[in-house]
Amino acid sequence: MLAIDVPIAVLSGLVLAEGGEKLIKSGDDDKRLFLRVFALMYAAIFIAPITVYFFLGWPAWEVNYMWEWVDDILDKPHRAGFAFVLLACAVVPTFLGLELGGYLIRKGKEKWVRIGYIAMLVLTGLIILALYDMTFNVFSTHEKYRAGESYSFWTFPFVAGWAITAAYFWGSLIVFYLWLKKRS
Amino acid sequence: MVQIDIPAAFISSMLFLDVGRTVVKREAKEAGEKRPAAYYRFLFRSVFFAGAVIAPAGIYLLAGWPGWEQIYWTERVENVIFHWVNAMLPALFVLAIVLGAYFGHVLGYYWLTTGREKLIRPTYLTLLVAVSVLVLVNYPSFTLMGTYQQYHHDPQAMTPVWENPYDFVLGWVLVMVYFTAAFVYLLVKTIKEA
Repeated sequence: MLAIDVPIAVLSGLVLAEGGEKLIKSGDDDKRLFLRVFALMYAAIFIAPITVYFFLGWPAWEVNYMWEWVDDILDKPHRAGFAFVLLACAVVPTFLGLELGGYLIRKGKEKWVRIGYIAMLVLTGLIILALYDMTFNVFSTHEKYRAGESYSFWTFPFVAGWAITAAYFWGSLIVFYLWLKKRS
Repeated sequence: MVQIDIPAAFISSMLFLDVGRTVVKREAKEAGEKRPAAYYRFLFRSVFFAGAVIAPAGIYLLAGWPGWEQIYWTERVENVIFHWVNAMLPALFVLAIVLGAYFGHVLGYYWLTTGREKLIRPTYLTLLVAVSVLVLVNYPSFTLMGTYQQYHHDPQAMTPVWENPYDFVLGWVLVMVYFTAAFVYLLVKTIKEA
């Protein structure tokens, strides 16, 4: 869901910053550049595709039924233009998270990076709780949302797609955090 | 088009390295065994161009005009909504664009720093020609706006793109202006750096 995609992207940036803590602390501009490139690639490969997957597959659910127009973007250039916003929502917050994490580490406030990404995780949880019905009852379109016709989040095949993307994202974040720690 | 966008990311990476070869080779020589800053600067440029320009433009066209964007090769991208397998295709498209940029950079840099730089230009130019030929042999698909079923069973029902159905041409022109402006900006930046 877009509402949690942004805090999760910020979380990713902060986690990558912590993973590359020693690279940041080295003061070496080349190493910081490496980390920036890495974060950009991470966001483009492991976050952006997931956002696209859910937005094009379950557009109403992805935007928490805020906008009806997402159900009908075919042949509509101004609506399809949301693709730019979508990808920006994946990449920009990740980068901001990385830069914020880098700033905190350079100022000697490393623990705030961890506090930051835990806070993003808690925020994500709170958003899911606040939007519990909308999250776990999937309405195919905005019209069905208004009519109250839903199916459970845990229904195949929706849950299969979610499980694959969740494993893809969280698995990669853990792997690359550990890889950065080792590389540092 | 999908058939153009993915190779375009690969081609752009190689082109940037080709244009900036002087500075890349110099910094690589100075860095010795380590990867120089130029490697990461150029990688950032390539991935940024792929992720911030090619991918959004591609998804914009794939979301709005899925049939045309892949010149009616498959009906799957027209049926992504609520379909957990088909919905992976646009996601894989984004992934392929970014990975295309990455591999273009990695291969180009490898050739540039191992005395094989002569391979770079022929490779990306050949790929550019190959992609152009691929699209052209699928004429008249890219001139028609409609669905997969229409293209394969009832092309007369389709609208020529120059009639600007659904403001498609307007959207396409805006996207191409964005693409061109970004590409020229990065190219000039690379030329100045070299």
